[in-house]
Amino acid sequence: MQKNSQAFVNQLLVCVLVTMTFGGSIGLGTVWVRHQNSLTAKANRDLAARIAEVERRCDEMTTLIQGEQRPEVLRTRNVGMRLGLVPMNEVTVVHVAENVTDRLVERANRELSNTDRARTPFVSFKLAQR
Amino acid sequence: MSKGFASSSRIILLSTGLFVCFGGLAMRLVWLHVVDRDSLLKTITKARSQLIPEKARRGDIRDARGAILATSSSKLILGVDPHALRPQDEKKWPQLAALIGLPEAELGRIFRTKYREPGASGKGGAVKAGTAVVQIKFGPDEAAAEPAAGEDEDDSDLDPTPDEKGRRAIRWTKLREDVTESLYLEVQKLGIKGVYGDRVYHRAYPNNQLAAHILGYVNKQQEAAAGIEANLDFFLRGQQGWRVGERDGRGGELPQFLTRQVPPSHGFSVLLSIDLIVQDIVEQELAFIADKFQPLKASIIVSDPRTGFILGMGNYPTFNPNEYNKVPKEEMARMKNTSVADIYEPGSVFKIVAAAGALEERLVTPASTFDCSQERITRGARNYKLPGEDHKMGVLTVSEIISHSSNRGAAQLGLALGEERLDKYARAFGFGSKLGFPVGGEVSGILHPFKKWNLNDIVIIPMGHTVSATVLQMHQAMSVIAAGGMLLRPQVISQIRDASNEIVYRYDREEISRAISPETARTMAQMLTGVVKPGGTAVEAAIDGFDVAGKTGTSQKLIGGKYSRSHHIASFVGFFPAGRPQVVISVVVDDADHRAPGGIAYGRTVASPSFRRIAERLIPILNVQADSRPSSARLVAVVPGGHK
Repeated sequence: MQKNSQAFVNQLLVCVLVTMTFGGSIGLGTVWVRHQNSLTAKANRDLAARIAEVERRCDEMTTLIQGEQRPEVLRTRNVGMRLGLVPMNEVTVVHVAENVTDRLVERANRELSNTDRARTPFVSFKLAQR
Repeated sequence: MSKGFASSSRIILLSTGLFVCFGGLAMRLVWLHVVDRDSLLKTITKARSQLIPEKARRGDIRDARGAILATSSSKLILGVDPHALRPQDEKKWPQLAALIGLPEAELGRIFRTKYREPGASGKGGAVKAGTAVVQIKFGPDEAAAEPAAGEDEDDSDLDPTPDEKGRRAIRWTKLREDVTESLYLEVQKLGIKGVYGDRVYHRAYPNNQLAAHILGYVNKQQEAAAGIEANLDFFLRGQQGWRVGERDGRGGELPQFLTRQVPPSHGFSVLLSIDLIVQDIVEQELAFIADKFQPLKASIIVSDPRTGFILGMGNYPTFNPNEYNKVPKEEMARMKNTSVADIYEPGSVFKIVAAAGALEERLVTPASTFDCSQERITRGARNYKLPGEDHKMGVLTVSEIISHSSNRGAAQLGLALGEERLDKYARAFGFGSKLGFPVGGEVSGILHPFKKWNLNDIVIIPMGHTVSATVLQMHQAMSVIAAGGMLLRPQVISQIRDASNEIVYRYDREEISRAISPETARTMAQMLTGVVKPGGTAVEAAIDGFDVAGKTGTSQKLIGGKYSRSHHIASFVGFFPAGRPQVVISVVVDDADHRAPGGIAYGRTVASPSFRRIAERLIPILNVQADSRPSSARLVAVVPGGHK
């Protein structure tokens, strides 16, 4: 009977130790997981902060670029750098009052005759007098 | 396990020990979680929990080609906590002073002033009244409760509790505003403890004064004060976000304890119908007018008559919305959009109303003639005194009345129409009521109901007297003819887009009402081309290769209750090509007489050349195509019985 009770106590102690080890492991695991969660959350927050920073830089740069592209600055640069660029003031469309088809045909034929004249060697004929 | 180890006394001892340990832990847990719960929670909640607002970025305003007209960028307000400064950092102060452009002595004075003496100005508390900007949080490190920035040094953040001498500790004081991110990075590299910045969204207008009256501005309190900024503030401002979490002992955010989070919704972007290039042309011309004539004010509007969308709108004088607070109080009027908020007597440009009405009612044809030499005329039982002319006129056709700008001819057209119908057509052309322009504080102008007209009003209203209109109303009236007789709502907002650039709302052509038939509009357009042809009042507005239709106006200003002979408002409102209108341009110059040729600012000499210069520059930019069918306005004018 005494032998049996000792065996029971031994088993109980073993069980207690195993339970404590298991519980401790679970606890440590939980702490580790929570720590990982914290690290991940912090990494996410840092990432969000970096994204926000990049966006801020983009905004700043966009504003800067737009400011440098404003017409007034471009005109100053044009003069300062002696680029000689002129605004598009030329009227590119010409009002054609007469018949457009006739005008095009005339122009095409004029160009054609000019081209032929350039290509064709000068030929002269002499008529024999009889 | 040996028998000796597992003796009863040892088992009891071990059990007791374990029980005591666990019991102690259990008791402590009960104590913390039940007995002291409320007080502990109160302390923790006060010390650790925090609500962090996340400011939404205000949306951009762009022009028709996508160029940015107004945008938000983050800037920093750099400040210092004098109590956090370390003696070993003092050698870096000159570098900091050089970086932020502050005199070294001034920086030293700010750094060494740690207390505000009793009676000195300054506001206590964590957040100051009169804070210039809204504080925003971007990252975890900056999420700590940093003090908000002040407008000036007097708004330094002071300790709420004075010390035994009655002084209050300065916790934060401003060093410089508008610090860029790159500059702040340089400052941070110095590593001076106690020097840090507050991030704020700063509204920037990269093109300075360009389209200032359309855009309006956002003030330092981040409140939209005028223009599109104010009108579409609901869409532009976005929705502020927030997150609830905890912070550690140093004030840093503990992201793992984030409990609730509502992300910010950034503001929508607004696309305007304004074209930056057109606007620049308009403002260059205004600058030219200002330089040459030094007028009281001037306005130019460019629009597309097919849709009613404004392509450019500018006023002189103007202001820079980036420096709105630098406009002197006595010059606040320059911040007003005079195109829509000021009224003037349109003068002869108004003659298009009487002529169009008479044509629409089939009372006259372009070839109908009127004797414009007579000084008085009798209609029914009434005898009317006709207004004077600038020069002697004879018998004129309706076309010539327009091209020569005859006051007496217009008066007779008004008489032919009668009061009721003249009033009806004036209102149909958009006079006397607001057109629904979204910005600038539009006014409705003055057009009294015809029942309240004086006896002589019927002969002077057709020449644009006793009626007042905004520049925009006059512009839209001319647009009626260019748009085939339809009065369109003048619009400047084209699209609203969300943060992902998806179109949320698109503004389309909006018809208010039909004023005249397309046939009458065509006839009017043809008649108006005579104005810029030889014999007309504005040959200076003619453009080679294009049929230009328009009308000059020279109205005397009412000064001291009398029409002045030395103060005029010169205007030219026209469109081209006449047969297929693509652009309507209005130029109105107020009081340019002292620098005008001959001492009188006529629409012909002051406004018409500006119209031509603008129109010529717009042709390649807007790809304006010449009308293939030249107008026969001259033929209309050359009729038997006519003046020519």
